[in-house]
Amino acid sequence: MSETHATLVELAQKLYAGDAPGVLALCKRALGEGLAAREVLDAGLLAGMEVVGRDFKAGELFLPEIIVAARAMHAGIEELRPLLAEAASGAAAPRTAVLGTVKGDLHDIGKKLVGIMLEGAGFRVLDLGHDVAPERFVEAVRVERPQLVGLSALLSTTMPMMRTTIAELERAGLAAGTTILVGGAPVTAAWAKEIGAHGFAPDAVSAVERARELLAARGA
Amino acid sequence: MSVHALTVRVPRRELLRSLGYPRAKAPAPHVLARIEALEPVAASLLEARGSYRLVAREAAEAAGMPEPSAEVGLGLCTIGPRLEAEAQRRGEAGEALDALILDAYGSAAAEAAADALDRALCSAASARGLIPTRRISPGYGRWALAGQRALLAALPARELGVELSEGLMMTPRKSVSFAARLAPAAAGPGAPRGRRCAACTLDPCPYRADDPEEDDDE
Repeated sequence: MSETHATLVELAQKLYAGDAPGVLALCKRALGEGLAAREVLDAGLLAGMEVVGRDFKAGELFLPEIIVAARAMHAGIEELRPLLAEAASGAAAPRTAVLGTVKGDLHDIGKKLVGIMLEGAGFRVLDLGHDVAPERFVEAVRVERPQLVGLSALLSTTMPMMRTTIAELERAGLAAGTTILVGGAPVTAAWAKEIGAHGFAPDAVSAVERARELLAARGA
Repeated sequence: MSVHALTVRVPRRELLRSLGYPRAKAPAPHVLARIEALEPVAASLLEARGSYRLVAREAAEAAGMPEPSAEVGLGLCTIGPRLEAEAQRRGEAGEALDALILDAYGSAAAEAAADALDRALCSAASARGLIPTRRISPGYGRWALAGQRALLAALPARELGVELSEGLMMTPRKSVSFAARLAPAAAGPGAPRGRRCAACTLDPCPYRADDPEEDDDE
């Protein structure tokens, strides 16, 4: 095993352990050893996050460990981002996600976790908070032109506000230009389809996977 | 209707359950260290209080409770706003793990508060020759969430500091409203009380049941 390879293996391990300072230090060391930012990202950070996701699905890791790992991932990506952009001649601008819990619903934590996971996956996240009126979503999408819009609702009584929000985005001519993902305890794939969302995710980890799939399918 | 201060203790196991850990799994050492650091913080922010009353069937029917008994016990409790505010503050400061742990602690504490209030209700009902069955809440099972407004109207929500949003959500969010059917004690065992029984101090109780959830997440 080369010294460089050992650094990336260690980087993936630090990521798994949620050691953000360690991840940052190892990203710097890997770059100092002459590795390309893309290689550090792919063989270090993404490789580590893949194991995290796999172990979450297998019931070996749980949400707290995932959050810490995603934070560490975000720290590493921020270190690499300028170099990645430079290597891609500025074309590697991060995707933007606008998130919010719909009007009337004060739940926040689940949506925040989705934001953390998306940041860990390299998205720029604009979190509108909770109790977000449809017109605020419309304004944010109009200004930010995000690739992804995430709507959260935790109550059966506030779920209909997802439909209203999507309808407002459609009325403003903005829905077709983005990808709308919905989630929350009472939300189902059938509900997502019924209200015109592009997709549904049952948890924060799945949200990232689903977002990637949907964006890839749309070429976004 | 009087407001009771409730003594709430959140066992580590309940906090872990609230965080999503099955019984056989333990948090990673760095997560466990954070849990240990935050438990006393969370406990110091609890302001658990609640109120209950025994009402006639009609009041429960007005709240949409399915199949109420002739008399029904109603309850409302909250852990207050301070823990929730701290979780929110830490979340906004980017301390997501802290926010998650405090939020989970709040959920477990709200359930513990409901159990404590339920015990008080159980004792009051018992003194009248009645035994409550398992507590149920609007929004769960066959009880539509729409019943929440009438249920809270029958209880001192304002004194407890609990408000209901347009979407029928309680604030503080870590609040529990419930009702329990009351059966004559002479009727003998019949309706299982579920997991509350493990924490209930009413003994002997003809309805005491083993906790089926104790072993179901191995």
